[in-house]
Amino acid sequence: MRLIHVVLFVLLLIAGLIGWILVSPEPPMSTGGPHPEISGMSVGGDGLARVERIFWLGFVLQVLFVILIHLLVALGVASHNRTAAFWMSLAGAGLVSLWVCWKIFSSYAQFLETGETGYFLGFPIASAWMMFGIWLSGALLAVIYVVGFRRFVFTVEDEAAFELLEAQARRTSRPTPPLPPEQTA
Amino acid sequence: MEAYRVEITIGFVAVYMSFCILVGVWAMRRTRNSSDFFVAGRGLGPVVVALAVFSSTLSGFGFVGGPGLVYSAGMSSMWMVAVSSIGYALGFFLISKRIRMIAGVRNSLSLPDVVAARYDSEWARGLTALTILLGVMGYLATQILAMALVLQSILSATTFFADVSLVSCVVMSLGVLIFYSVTGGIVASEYTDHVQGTNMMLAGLLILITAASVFDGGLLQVSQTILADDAEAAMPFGTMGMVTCIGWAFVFGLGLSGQPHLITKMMMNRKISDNRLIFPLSLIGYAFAALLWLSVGVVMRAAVVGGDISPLDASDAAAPVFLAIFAHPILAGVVFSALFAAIMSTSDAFLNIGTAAVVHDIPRMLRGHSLNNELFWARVVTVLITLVAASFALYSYYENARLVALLGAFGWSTFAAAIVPLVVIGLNWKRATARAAVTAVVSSLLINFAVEIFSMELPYGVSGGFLAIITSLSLFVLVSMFDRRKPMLAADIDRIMDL
Repeated sequence: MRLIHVVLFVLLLIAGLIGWILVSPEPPMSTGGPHPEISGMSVGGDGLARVERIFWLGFVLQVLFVILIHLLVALGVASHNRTAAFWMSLAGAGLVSLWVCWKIFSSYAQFLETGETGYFLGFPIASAWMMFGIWLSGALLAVIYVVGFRRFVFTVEDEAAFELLEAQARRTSRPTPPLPPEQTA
Repeated sequence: MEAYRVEITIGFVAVYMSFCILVGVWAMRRTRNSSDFFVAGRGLGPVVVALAVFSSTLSGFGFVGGPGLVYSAGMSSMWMVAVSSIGYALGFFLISKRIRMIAGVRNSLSLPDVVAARYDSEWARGLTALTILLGVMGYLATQILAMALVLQSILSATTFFADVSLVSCVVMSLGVLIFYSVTGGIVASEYTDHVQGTNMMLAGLLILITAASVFDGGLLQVSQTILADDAEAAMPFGTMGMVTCIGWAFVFGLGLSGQPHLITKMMMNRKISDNRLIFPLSLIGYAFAALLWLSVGVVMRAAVVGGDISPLDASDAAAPVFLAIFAHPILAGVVFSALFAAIMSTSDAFLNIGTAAVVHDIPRMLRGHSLNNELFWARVVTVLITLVAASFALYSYYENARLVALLGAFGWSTFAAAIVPLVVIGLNWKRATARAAVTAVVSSLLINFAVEIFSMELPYGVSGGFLAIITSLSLFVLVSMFDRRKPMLAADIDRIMDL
């Protein structure tokens, strides 16, 4: 199975999940309601009631998002550069992202059950996982990009091949847009 | 110093606007042809591109609308910010290298140029250009309106300009924007991005420090106050709920790499290897600037629910009121000038891609070649697009608020749904066909437009943009797979896609 087929499979799973969510009975306040005292502000109300039917669907949707992102990153690396080291790095970053995803949902579920939360850097744990953890997921991909730039992204051989291509294009004037008069003057 | 708060703010804004005019004059001498005007001659260094990438991502919305959203809906909108690191990753892994290669080999001036080269299709070029033009109108109108409203709020605090009208503020804002964009093109924008980017990062950091000191207990007390009023507001999905937020993760995470004003910047760097530096610099810059979005929003919500200040008239007032009450006058001046910087930078980037669509891409689709004397027409069309967008903005404000909203629907989510399949997958998968590209763009336009026109509210806050991006991506792959006409790639494009 080729990578693009896996991407399509994940996209179709996501489409199916959206369909499932759309036909699920919707509780009141699923997208919030007006604040009882302050106009222009909204409230979420009873968290447990509004996620009861879709909590696991939401979790799976977020997991599929993480998987899709990492599959697309792999698609962006030329097939000859997808070495074992690349796959190991990407899998590592993917596992960290999935762990972050699990921590967001499990911390939130714990709060819904107990009504109690710890704090990290001034934010409730679940929210801190969302803000800092998701950001970290992207930052890990940045680390792979920077550290592996010459191994996975743009090798010295790739650069030489591109320079050759560019030189050929200059020589043979590949179909370039017609030059405006101020350039030809 | 407190007595001179308004004067200090006006001083900072005036200095910034004068700076824009001077840079415009300087850049005009360096803009000799349409390549300079649209892609800065593809000769920019890594720091300039990095600052340009993040400062054009974070528009006036990030400084006004973002804190307003946190004020009104708690943590929900933080998903837009958190996933941006993933969006940048997709942009750099999947687009930055090949778009720069195609631009270099084919002398491309715009994203539709690249799309036409990749798919060998004038239809794909034309539809991409049309999508960009529609999106630009909506975006630009909101940016102009935001700039004029902020200017009006600053000037009306003085005795001399107490009754200044919105129209006058639109005229003043347009004066600077047009001069700056017309004279300098993208060269002016890229060099002012140095100052703009630095200003935005500084503002974000200082505002975080200020926000953390508003309450004795710092951000912990802020969170506890919000939690006590409505727990969901402080939790990761905010008041808008789980599905809305995850939908935003898709639209903003995937969609960032489909924003034409952003990916066009990836065509402007001198060397592809500079991307190794541009990516982390952009990420760090965005993180600093986005601190303002979070910190102002949560502090204002806590201050209002805790009874420390009166409720706001409108959620978008969160940032201006915060600056007026809690920030030192000099910091307020820095942030207001950063706000103008953000709006100006994004507006210029939109004007640039909109103008390229009109003078370069649509004529090439219709006539097979672009307009003669492209640089002259680029300057004329820049003025025309600005004036049309300003008219939309004023008409929307006074007569029909849905007009800009409607065009705005063609903004971020339409760019995301229409352009992501074409570049994110299309530049990395040889089997993708022109027919699939056209299908993806048309389906995304139809879904986004239908949801907006019929004011459809889907269960659990599933957004039109979310539906559109998943549909267009799936259709793009499916149509390519089942298209009997195999794509015939030009030899140079074929080679580029191997690298």
